[in-house]
Amino acid sequence: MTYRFSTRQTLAHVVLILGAVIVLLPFYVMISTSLKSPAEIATGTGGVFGSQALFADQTCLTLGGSKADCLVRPVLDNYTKAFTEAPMWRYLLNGVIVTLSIFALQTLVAVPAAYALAKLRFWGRDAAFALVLFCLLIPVHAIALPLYLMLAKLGLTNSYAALILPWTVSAFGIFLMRQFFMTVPDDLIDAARMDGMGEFAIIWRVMLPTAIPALLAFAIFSVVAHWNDYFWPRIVITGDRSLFTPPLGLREFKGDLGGDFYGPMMASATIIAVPLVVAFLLAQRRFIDGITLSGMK
Amino acid sequence: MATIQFRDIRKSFGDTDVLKGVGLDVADGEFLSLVGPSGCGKSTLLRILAGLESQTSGSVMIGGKPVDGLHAADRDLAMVFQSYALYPHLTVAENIAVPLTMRRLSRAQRLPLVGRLLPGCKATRTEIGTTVREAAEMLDIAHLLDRKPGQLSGGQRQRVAVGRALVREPSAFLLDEPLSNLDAKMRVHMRAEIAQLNRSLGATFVYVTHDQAEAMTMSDRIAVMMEGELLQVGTPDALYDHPQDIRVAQFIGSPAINILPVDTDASGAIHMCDMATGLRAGGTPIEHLGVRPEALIPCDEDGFVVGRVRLIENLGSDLFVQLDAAGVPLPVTVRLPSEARGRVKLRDVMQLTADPARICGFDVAGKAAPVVAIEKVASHV
Repeated sequence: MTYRFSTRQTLAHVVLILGAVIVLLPFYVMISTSLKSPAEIATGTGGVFGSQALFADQTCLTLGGSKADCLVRPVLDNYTKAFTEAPMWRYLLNGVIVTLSIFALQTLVAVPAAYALAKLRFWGRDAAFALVLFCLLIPVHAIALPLYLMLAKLGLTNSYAALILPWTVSAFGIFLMRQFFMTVPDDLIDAARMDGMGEFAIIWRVMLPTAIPALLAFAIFSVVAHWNDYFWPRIVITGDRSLFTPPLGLREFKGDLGGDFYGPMMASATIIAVPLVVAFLLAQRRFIDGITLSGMK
Repeated sequence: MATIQFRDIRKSFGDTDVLKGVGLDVADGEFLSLVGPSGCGKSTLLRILAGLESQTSGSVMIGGKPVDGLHAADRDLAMVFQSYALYPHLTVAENIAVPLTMRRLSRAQRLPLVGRLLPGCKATRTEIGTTVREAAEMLDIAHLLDRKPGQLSGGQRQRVAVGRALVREPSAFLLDEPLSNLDAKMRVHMRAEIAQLNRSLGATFVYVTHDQAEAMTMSDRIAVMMEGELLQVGTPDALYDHPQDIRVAQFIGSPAINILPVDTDASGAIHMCDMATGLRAGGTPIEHLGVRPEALIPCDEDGFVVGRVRLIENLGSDLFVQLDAAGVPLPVTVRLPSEARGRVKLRDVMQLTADPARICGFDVAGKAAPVVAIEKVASHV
């Protein structure tokens, strides 16, 4: 097989590579910084991995340790600090609790709603679906204040409920699942009715299992958005550090008067990003060999 | 085992009347086909019987009891769909087991994981497993029980769909064009199997199809529907030999019946292109004559159809000859025995006659009207 030079293809790939570099650059900075000593970070030296030379930890010296006692390896120091200076495990656990609860509740609401909008005939169905589409246009930030006030009136701020409840109804989830359910043949639902299933049995026993690929796509959007969300937790979690989600945990290293802690901060950021990358890689495989509707045609 | 009665069923979608008052009785254990061109309302009628659609007016009875308010699940019917509608995420065994698990296990017992720990669940599940295996063996799909529908061929999926229907021994089977997604060879094979199933189970079958050949070969009785009305209900023989309506005559039979436009004079004698046919109307004036291709006999003189051969189709067992006949808009088809091979040539002129008993007459409204032969003696007077 011979390859011919194509200006068009080359140009397309140059643009794609540039795009990839722009997207990946912040990750490179994050990982690289998490490996370096404070001096290397401040001067911008040390290449990708840093020289990994031992250095005396500033806090340790301030507390009166001798220079020999306080010598540490930059990479170990950054990642140890990420866990010791802040309750990182607790933050990660909070992140898991919040994102999974949100996703479970969103599924609980979106799947039946989408089924009704896609497959049941009732008065006002099209109007209801139009409202769902309309909800997609409302930015979160526009309703943040009223939402906060409502939660505050209910006395729910500084609780898991404050982090989870506002997100249980996802217009995007309803929309996505409805579009998928539209492609499920009516015969399948009629067959389920003949087999003795009620409407809810149809939703959970037939529609949900056939919709796994669509649900996974939605899961990625939902989990990524809420795992990374800084805005909403920052508003409703004001005091209690044990309720912090991972992004809030990053603030522990923002320094203020005590100097800068970019190394540990970037180490935390890396730790926070890893679960998502792993989850995505696992879900990606399920996407491809997931259950398809091919058995019905 | 049950009888089925439709009483004046009407159905409208908005302004369109899909069913215009259909009344029909199906006997216990009978194989009844609903046949008609697409859009004639036959599938709607079946869905109304199944409880998947509700009629605008009229009543459906199963086993003598009205079922109008009843959900599909409570009517004790099973249905096989054109697309098979197997659950893609379940194995063949699980697919067949669904109607049983939904009926024999309680809501709590059906719960994932927890349900299996409840008392009685294990015994019932084993029992269901046995029933499923028996059904699968009967349909010759026992070796496929662990596969998913996506891994099966069309014919195998069809059998699984049938298995899912028969596993819980319903009082009647509803089949909605179950063979139309199969290839021609498989279709002929499954035709025989389904008819056989009806005899061995002794259950009532209501079979919807647009293919008259399927209806003719499988049914005890056929109901022909067109434009939301029932035109004729009868045995395949009755429909073939004595169609009550010109549309039934045209729909049933392949190749199609020959329709010859004719005139009836004041005395009742029937003429075709001003030629006497030797027939007269037994009652109302005749507008069209219907003659099956095999009822036409070549003759040397006095034939009432004269035409020139335009096409010869040799099927081996039979010879179908198409003629351009004067006064007939469509070519006239004649079936000749295989011995006639080589004797008929293109552009030959042929004369045809037919036994008057095998000629159907239709009046101006397209309804069947009697035709009788004019006595030879009378014609000489």
